[in-house]
Amino acid sequence: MRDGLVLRLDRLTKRFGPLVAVDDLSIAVRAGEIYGLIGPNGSGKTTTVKMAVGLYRPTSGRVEVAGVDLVAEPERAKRALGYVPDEPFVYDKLSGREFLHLVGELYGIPRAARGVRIERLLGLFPITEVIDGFMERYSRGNKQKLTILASLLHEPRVLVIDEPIVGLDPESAIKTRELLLAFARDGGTVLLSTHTLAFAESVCHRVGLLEAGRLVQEGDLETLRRIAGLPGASLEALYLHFAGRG
Amino acid sequence: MRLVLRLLAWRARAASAFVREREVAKLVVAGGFALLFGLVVTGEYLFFVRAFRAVLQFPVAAPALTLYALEGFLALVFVLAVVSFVVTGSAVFFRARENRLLLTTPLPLRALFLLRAVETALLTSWSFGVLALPALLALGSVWERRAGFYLAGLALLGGFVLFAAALGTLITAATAAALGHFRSRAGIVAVGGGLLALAAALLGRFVIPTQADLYALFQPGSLNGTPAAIYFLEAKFTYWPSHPFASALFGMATGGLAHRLPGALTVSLGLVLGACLLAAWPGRALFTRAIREAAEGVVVARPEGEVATPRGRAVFPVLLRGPVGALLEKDLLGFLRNPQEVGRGLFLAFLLVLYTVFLFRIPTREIQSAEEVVARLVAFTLVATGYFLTTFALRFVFPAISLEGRMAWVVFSSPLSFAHLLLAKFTLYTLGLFGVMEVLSLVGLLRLGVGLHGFVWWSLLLFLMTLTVVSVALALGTLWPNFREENAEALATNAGGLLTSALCLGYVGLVGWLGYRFFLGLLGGERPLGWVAAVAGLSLLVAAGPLWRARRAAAAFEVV
Repeated sequence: MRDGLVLRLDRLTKRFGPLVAVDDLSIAVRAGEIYGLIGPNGSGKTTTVKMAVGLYRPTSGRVEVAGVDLVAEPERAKRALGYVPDEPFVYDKLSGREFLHLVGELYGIPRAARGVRIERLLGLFPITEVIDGFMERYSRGNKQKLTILASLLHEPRVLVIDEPIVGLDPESAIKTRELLLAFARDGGTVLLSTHTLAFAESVCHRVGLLEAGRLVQEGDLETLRRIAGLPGASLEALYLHFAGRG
Repeated sequence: MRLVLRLLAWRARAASAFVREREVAKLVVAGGFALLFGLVVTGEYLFFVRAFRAVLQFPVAAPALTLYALEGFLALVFVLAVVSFVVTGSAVFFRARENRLLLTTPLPLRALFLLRAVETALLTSWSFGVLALPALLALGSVWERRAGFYLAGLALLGGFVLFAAALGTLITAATAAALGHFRSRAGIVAVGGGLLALAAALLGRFVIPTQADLYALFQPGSLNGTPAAIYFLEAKFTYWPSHPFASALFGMATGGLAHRLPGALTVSLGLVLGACLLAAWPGRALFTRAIREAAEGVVVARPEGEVATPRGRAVFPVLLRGPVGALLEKDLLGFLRNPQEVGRGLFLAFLLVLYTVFLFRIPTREIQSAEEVVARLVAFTLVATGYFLTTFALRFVFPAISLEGRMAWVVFSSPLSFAHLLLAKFTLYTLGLFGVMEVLSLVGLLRLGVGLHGFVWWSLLLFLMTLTVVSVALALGTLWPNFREENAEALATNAGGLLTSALCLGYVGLVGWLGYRFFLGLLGGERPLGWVAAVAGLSLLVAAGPLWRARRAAAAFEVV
């Protein structure tokens, strides 16, 4: 790892036939940093996130996680990754607890340690009442909470989260924010994609604005305000400014 | 009614869009399935013609044997049609996702009920056509009937399908109403198991001939010019709902029992109308009660403790260990906790049990040149087992990778390699299917007198066949994945499904022939190992290519 960079997306391009979803995108995120991807629908945020966790193969470019090339050594690189998808699809016929055990088993966490970690994680969100019921009966919010807990189970170095608070109640959204800040404080790295600009403003150390698959602006809030010439502006105002709609 | 027709027409238009849009790939796949279907129907027709001609070789017993074939056939089809309707209907009537949308629209519940009944009937009655149409054609051809017979026969069988569908509708609605929120898995499995057990008992008692039945059919005596065996059969099947239909078809085809034909036709018509009335009145009322509860159970979150929700286990996995073991156990639980899937699996197993019971009743000791006949029967059993394996593989193994579906992110974002996932599915289905088929075929095979030694060789052939069919289905399912489709039956209708069907059925046919040569030699006291080696070589040839391609393709998998 060079310069403390834990997650590097280097000149990533993704094409779907004639459509260029992500175009020559480079992002680097340090340990202890939360990086937010913002942009309109179809700008390439989810495609970028999926390439960052190995669900999509880049047409060109490279993804490096904790110094390991994700395409060349996917199993090693993925051990350092935790992922929360934009839609929390889960196995309907398993209970939440069984799901957490399954994820733990996939990451090779011994059963005893798994049990202790699951109990600890269940204290983070109020879902203990439903955790032993089949997930087909969960609300979207509870599924979202469960996938967030599952992503933390193997104590990853990097969290990649697509739309972290969609479907969450306000209390859980606040908890998620605290959770991410604590994760970064402890040296973790976070790449998140979101449409909720207030949330991004409250947790991200840096944000990148994507449009048509390209990174059009990047920096912390102060830098973006300086570039836009809008001192004290909110992320929402900056977004509208850079998107040419302000 | 107009609304229901419009909804059905809209669906038919959506399903046939590829014809209008002239998508070459889809047209080729549809043509391939049509060709496969045509080949199967032609094969059945030739089989029925041969069977009916063989019956005519015995002038004394020919009418009775023909009537027995029709009574048994329609009784069997009746039971299968009703059970299949209830198993499929429980999902179509009450679990269709579209219900959530339709229940919020002004669509009257009676229209929804009719729509679901028609849909289920269409889904379950096509298999009846595959069996009954070639049988009707063969019957008319052997007994040299004119066009009027075929038209009347079609009308009669159409009425029979309507009768079975109406009864199926009534039972489906009654079961749902009796099970309340339709959420008791044990209840659903109990009803399904009960229906299958009842069907097995009835079929075992009436449809499968005992040796005494066979002797009675060949008795030459007659009463008032009608063979006594005909009266015997009339009495045997009197209480079967399919009896008037079989009697009428027999009369129209052979001219036998002509004086009873009007009566049989009238009773048949009465049964159809009665069943439709029962379905339309109490059936619809029961549906109206049950659909509201079913929709509530799915859509509305209820206060904790108000309903007994199914609960998972405190630890997982319990039976197996490691990532592969956990995935296997996840699939196993997913299957066992889904009453519809269990029902379909049980239904397929039930058909194989039925076939085995038929084998058990064959009077092999009375047959001359027994070695030849036993070798043929063993080979036929091998082909039948292979056919069941292929059906099962298309329904459960082919979609296995695709059905990871929108949850595929769990596995593909983890450090588990795809090879491990493939291995997990491969192990589960190969061992599971082999175990089930082995147990089901054990009794029938030993009854045929192949001995323990022969059974060991049979097991080896069966294992090779299972290994190959599972490999082909899994590999081609991987080469044609569709992570967005949740309907397992729809998944197997793409090009991969067609290729799996054609490849597996062709392979099974060849293994049947090689198996026949092997058992003919074995029962003759030889050790014809060359034939087993040929099966092994063929299996390797068929499975290796798709597996190799699947591993390569999987390296470039992308998960939606």
